[in-house]
Amino acid sequence: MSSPTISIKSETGEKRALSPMQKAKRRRLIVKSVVVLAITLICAIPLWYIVINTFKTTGDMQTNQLGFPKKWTLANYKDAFENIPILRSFVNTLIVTVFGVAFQVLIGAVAAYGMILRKSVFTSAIGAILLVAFVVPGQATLIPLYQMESKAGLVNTLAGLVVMYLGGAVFCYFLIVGYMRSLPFELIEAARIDGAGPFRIFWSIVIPLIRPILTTVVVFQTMGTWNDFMTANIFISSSNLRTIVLQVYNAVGQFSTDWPSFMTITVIALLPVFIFFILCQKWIVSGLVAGSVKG
Amino acid sequence: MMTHVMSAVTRIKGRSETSDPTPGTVDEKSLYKKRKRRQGLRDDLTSFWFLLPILAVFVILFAVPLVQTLIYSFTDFNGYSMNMHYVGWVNYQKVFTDSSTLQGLIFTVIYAVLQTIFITVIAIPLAVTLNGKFFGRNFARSMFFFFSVPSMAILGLVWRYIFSPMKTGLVNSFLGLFGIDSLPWLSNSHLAQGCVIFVAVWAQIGWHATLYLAFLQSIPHDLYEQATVDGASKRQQFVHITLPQLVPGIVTSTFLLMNGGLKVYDLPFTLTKGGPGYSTYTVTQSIIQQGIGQSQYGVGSALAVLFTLATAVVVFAQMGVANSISRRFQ
Amino acid sequence: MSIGKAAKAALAIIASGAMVASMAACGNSDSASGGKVTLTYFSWNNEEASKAYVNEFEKENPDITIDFGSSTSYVQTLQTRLVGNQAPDVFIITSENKADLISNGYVKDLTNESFMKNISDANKEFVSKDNKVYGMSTSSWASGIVYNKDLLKKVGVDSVPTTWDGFLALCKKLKAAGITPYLEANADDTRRIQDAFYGGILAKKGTDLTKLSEAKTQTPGTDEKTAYKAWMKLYDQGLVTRDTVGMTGDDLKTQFTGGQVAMITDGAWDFSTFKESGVNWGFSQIPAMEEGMEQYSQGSPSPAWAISSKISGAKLKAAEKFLTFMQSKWSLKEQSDGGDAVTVKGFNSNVVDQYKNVYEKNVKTGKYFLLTNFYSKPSVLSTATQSETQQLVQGSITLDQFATNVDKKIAEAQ
Repeated sequence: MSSPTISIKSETGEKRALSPMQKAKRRRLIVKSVVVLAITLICAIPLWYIVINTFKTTGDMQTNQLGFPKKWTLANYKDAFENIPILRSFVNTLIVTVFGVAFQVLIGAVAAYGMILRKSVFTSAIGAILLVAFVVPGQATLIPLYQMESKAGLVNTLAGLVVMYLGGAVFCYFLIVGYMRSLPFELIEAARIDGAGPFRIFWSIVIPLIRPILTTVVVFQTMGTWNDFMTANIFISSSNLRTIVLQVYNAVGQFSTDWPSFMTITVIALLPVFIFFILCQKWIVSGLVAGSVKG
Repeated sequence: MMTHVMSAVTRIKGRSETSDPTPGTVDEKSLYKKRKRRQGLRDDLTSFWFLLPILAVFVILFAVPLVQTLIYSFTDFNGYSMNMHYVGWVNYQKVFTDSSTLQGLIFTVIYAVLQTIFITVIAIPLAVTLNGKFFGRNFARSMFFFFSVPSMAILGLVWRYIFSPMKTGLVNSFLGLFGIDSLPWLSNSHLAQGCVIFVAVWAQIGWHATLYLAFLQSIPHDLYEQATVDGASKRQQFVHITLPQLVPGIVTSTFLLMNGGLKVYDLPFTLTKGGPGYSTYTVTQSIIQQGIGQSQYGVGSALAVLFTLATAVVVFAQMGVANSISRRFQ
Repeated sequence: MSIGKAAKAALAIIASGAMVASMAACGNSDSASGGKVTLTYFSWNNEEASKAYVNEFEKENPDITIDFGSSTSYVQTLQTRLVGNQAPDVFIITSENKADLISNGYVKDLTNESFMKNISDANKEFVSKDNKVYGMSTSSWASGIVYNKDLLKKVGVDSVPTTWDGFLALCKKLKAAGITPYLEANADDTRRIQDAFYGGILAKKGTDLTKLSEAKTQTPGTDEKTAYKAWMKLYDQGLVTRDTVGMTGDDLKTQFTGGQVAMITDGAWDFSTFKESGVNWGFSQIPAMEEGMEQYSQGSPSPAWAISSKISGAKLKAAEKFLTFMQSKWSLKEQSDGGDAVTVKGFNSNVVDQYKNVYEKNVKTGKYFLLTNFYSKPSVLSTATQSETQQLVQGSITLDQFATNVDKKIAEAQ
């Protein structure tokens, strides 16, 4: 199934007797590795910059921006954990992210399925209309949306924030439907002949088949929802409902920014996302079943 | 009960392995057709049930607010008092009297086009590289993806520090090591525009490379093997196999980039605040500025409506072109 | 079997929805529990700056809880909440939004409240309309020149000159000695010197400032041109790098605390940073534009606390209690210690030594000026002057173009 990885393994496995050609190949591989890794590291400097400065004092950071701290300090982290209800904010973020993303992806996937289930004027019209959602600039609809949620009593609640995030379902739909179109429709037809209902087909046949794109979409939407500032900033006014990204911006004052504390909270806020990504990485880019089902 | 599914699965597998599509038997085909006809209406209804949630989302979160914005654009709504009056097309006439809006439009278009081009041109080779083998591949893949993790608003603030026009700015002190004079990164209009686009490319390249990576891995491996046997060079393989197979990916990626680029807000706002002058001002900033800063929400809404229409035209045209290209390749 | 699975899925969805709802409810529930009043307070200072007051107030008033919120995009966020019928009980009214808040009836008239008794007239004037006061402003700010005593000593000078020509001469001297003489934050904080100059000009003319905003055609660009012309000498004479266009207040602070620049324009809000840095610093008045003019400063009464016009009963009582608390001895001392120049009558602000000069001569006497306080459409004016000033410094437009561009922007916004 996942032929690329297998072939790589088999090739690297044969390094017993190296012919001159293989040696040249090996040398090229090393050169390529060095070049790619060097570029990667240069590109990663801003990330390094954020992380290393969290271990410095303000003064140290100003005189020595990129180097190791003159004296390592955990004071920034200590301050952050003492002054900010980080746990509470994490729980809030976790709630809105989990429910927000779950509903977005579910709604998007179900819609994509409904779309490919039947091609008619009706569904094509809906497909075109849904694209409109993409081009609406969020800045324009903020006040109408706020008024709407206010009337529904959803403003300043986590549920209200989750409702706002449902808008991402259109993005999910867009990516998933493209992927579904590349699936063989015969599978669904066959299941239907067997008498399986549309829901059953969705759960037991379609979902497993679209797992690769689902993972990609979940990861992307998780990042977006976790990082959201604009919506949360407007819709959440109570301090105990603040998400972690709102806490990051709390360090950015009206007049001046407390840089080390800003970067520290940034690191704390993003750490879970990085861990999440590392855990998911295997599914995101590799093991894509797509290769085997696509003609 | 599962026999048909299984047979379909084996049939498809067989097809992909032999790359010679074997259609079902004649019996099965006519059976499909009959059932299909009977199911027509029922399918419409089931489709509708599946589409209902997203339609609800669309109506509540997009259509209604958009209509509301449309209504506001014909009123003297000041953004504070709901007591407003119909004013006709006045707001639409006013939209372009503001010279900064025009400048914002220019930079927005430049930004959207350049980011789409640069990211596409860099992300594809990057994805191909990351798909190949080398030591530390997983590390490199993770790193490039990580760049897209922090939100643009945070990245803008960090890069502002890096691109500081002062001698102590990160880039400038680096140049200083080589005896190169400091450059006025964010003080020069053109350099500032370049900086915004550079950061945009840097931040999004990983995610788009990941997207391409997913598409790359779905290219059947035997295509390359066959080409190698036929004596095609790596370059030829890239042009004749990889690129055509990536077309669906390019369609998706450029659509997202163009659309996101036209609606850009966070990055120029945190990196340059739209300056120097209006060199990195954007349409979205103009919408906010007119609606909120100038208490002319009606004018801001009119701009938003026009801009939505323009974005729709651009993005749909791009989709049309992309789709016709991709059809040619299939 | 298929129905079972679908039902299970549906149940799961409903259950999770209910969970979100209940979590949300638990976040909201404390607003009415046990006869306690919850006061929502939306501030433009962040939590760190406001925490001490909130804690102390809650300690003194155990029956009131404060639900604190703040935002970096304060004006925009407040506007959305107001028009969405979610007005906070207590919030901040300031130059950017005072006209809109007052004319649309969002803020309560505080003229005859007992806590307004000791507020200084200048601060009352700042948030007044038709002789009614809508906010409580307890302090004022004035910017000045922060200078590095050691660097100035290198060229044999120990204080910032009192006239602009003297200042330019000092810059020349410093530059010749290889020291960066002066920097300003044109990326996010323009007009500090220009406003001070214009204030001096208006004072000399004896103009009634309150009449400026009532003028039929508003021409702030043309009005401030003379001040701009004098200020531009910094760049025309090549004394200061034009890169200031991309410099922020944060950049300046870094440069100054690193001992890389002799003088910057700044204010009391950054004094704690300078104190910590160990630099031998002083703070002086902005020089007068010409001989015979007074040394004005760019400054203004500080943003004021306002009470929502929508609340009544126990909430209103609590809000009044909060404003009373914010001008109590304890709060004023806290503000004063934090670097604010408190102007409330009967309170002697104990400012740091460096600040004394500017505090006595500008803050206390009201000899400060902020362009956006005296013209209509302050928000448009501040963004327009910022962008146009940047282009002026870059050299891409002339002073005349600057004036016409700013005036045009204001005309369009009427």
